[in-house]
Amino acid sequence: MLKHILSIAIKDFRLFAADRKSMIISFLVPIGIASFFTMVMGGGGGNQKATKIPVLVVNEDNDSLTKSLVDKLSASDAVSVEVVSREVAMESVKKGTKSVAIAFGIGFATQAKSALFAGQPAILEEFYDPAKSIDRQVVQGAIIQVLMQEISRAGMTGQGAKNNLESAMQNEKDPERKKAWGSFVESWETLDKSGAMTGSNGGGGGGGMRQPFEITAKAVTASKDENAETNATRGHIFAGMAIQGIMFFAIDAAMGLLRDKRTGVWTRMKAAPVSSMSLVLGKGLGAWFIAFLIFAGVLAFGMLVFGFRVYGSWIGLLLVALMSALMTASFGLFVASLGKSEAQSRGLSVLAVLMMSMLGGAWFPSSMMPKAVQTLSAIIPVRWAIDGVDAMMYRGSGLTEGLIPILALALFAIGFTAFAILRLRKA
Amino acid sequence: MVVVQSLVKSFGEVKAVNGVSFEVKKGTCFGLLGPNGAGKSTTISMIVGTLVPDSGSVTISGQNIEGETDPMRRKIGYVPQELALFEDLNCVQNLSFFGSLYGLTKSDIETRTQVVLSIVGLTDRSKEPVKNFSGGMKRRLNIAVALVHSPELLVLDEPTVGVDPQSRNAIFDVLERLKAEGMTLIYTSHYMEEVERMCDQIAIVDHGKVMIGGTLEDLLGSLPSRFRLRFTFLDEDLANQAESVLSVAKLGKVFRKDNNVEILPESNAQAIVDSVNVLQRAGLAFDDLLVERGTLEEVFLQSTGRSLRD
Repeated sequence: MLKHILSIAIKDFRLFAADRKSMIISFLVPIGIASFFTMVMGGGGGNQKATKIPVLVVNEDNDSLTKSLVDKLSASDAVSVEVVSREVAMESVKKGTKSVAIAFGIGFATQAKSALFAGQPAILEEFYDPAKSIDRQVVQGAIIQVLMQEISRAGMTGQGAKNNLESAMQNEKDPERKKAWGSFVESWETLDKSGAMTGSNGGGGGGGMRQPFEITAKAVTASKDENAETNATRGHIFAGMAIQGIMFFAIDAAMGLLRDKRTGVWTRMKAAPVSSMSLVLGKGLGAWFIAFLIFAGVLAFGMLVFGFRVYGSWIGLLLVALMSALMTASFGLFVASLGKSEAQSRGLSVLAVLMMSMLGGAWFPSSMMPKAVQTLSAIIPVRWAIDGVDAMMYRGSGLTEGLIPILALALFAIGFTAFAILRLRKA
Repeated sequence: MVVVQSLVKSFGEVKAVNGVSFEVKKGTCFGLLGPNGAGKSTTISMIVGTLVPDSGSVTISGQNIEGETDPMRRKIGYVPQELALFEDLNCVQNLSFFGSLYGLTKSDIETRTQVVLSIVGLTDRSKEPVKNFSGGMKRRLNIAVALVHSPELLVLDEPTVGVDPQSRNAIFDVLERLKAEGMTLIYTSHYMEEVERMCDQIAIVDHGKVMIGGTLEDLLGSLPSRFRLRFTFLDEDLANQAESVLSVAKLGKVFRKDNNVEILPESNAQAIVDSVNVLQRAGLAFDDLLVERGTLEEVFLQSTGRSLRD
């Protein structure tokens, strides 16, 4: 039996090696995609500045406050500002050349300052391209921070602020609260005269309401290596593309088996004194070996060219790689046993691989997906392969921590293979 | 050597093989002749053990094939209708792989590879990928693969489909050589000329049943006439008159088609002389006379009521 299995596996490897173009493509496609994403994302390191999002600003108010707002926004790290007319702003967003525009209408500054204490809030108009709504969220964050600080500073200093406060006090009907307003106005006058409201007294305040905290971000990785974060991103990208690559190879292997059935090779093999199990296991062994070579080749390329490292267990990584390759080989058998023709199976299996790659976290971390999808991903084998590689590559996990993904992958492999043997024997 | 008894196989509602029985003697060639869909390939699949019959049995040298790994399978060489080869591999690699499935050792494979490549005339192309071969060469390699493990019985399912006449002759040369060496052959085809040339015993199959069987002589003997006469006239008018006088003479069944009049004589060669005399007496000069032997096509037509190529 073993001899038959080996004969089939060796023959399949010979076939893989004989078709040079196809063999090179099997390695180059995942390497190419992973390299592209790695270069586009620049490694994802926290030290790198993100690209500013361009924002068009319409300033119809032309108040000193709105001019100041434009200046402050221009100084922001998150956005780059260009002041234009309302028509230009609308047309640019409509055409998609800019994703977001904001407009300070006439009276915006006056209304905003008075609305700090009472009255209707001022309206800031925002126009955005629905196809780029993520840009809108980033821009809103930057605008709110700048506007709160600037408007509160303008609204709480000088004669204008005094007028607003006195107006609010006079409008108050309740005697107790009116008394409190009086005390507040007196205190405010003292602080304003001293320069505390504008920050000109050297007390450290910048004037206005400021963000009362600062965020210091630190990536938590397995290593103190200063490139650890970059390595993690690159490692994840290459692992994802390597797994997707071997899943696509599994489809090719499945198509090979279906081709064997169509061309009579399968029938000829079944006429020989060989069990169906040997035939299926032989096909599986060949596919396993080739899938492992592709997987290892893609990761090795990434390590050599992009310099990411393994912070966890090498043995664990080897086992995860072997099990991932085994799972994909058995997935190929599963596809072949289900399909009746190559054309019918190829389309469906490509769709299945793309879905599994996406939901399993090969394209982007599964944590970015909705909770329900994350839960569902437990039944997607790609997710366990990614988890296993991530754990060994950059989380610095030991062999024992990798056992759960390894076991899960083994279970998928057993399930797929058993199903394939039963189906192909019956066929 | 091979005894097929009351084989039945259905696929859903369709009864592909319905009680097929025949015997093949050692060292002979047995032909299964029938149109596409007659049940030939299904019968073959049950003989080589890739399909399990619903009922009936196949014994080879007195033994049944029991299960997927039965060593009995080594006695059979199977040539599928399709080109069941790995096109990216060369001849030697193909033969080595299939030889290994039949349990040949490395040295056996090396020896047998050279032998079978020599038999099919592909020795000088042994290291070339199969995808570079012509259709005829692939067909010959398809046969070589079935021979690599030295089977006693060679089962060929339409081995000349899509092959040019020259390559077909090359394949027949191979098969005739194997037959001369004492190999037993089972051969299916829907080409009567092939079966006539190759086979000692023939079974005509249709709708999953053996309609008639025996030697070529037996089958032709079942025809009402062993030969036919075809008179060709200058025009249809003469042919019409000839049809009338020959019918009146009651020498056999008479048919006319265009300028030709055909007679299937009921008696013997005397019918040729009699027919010519009848026409001469009537003053009807014919342009040409052709005497044709009866064919398997006619046997098929007689036993099934339809043409072999329908």
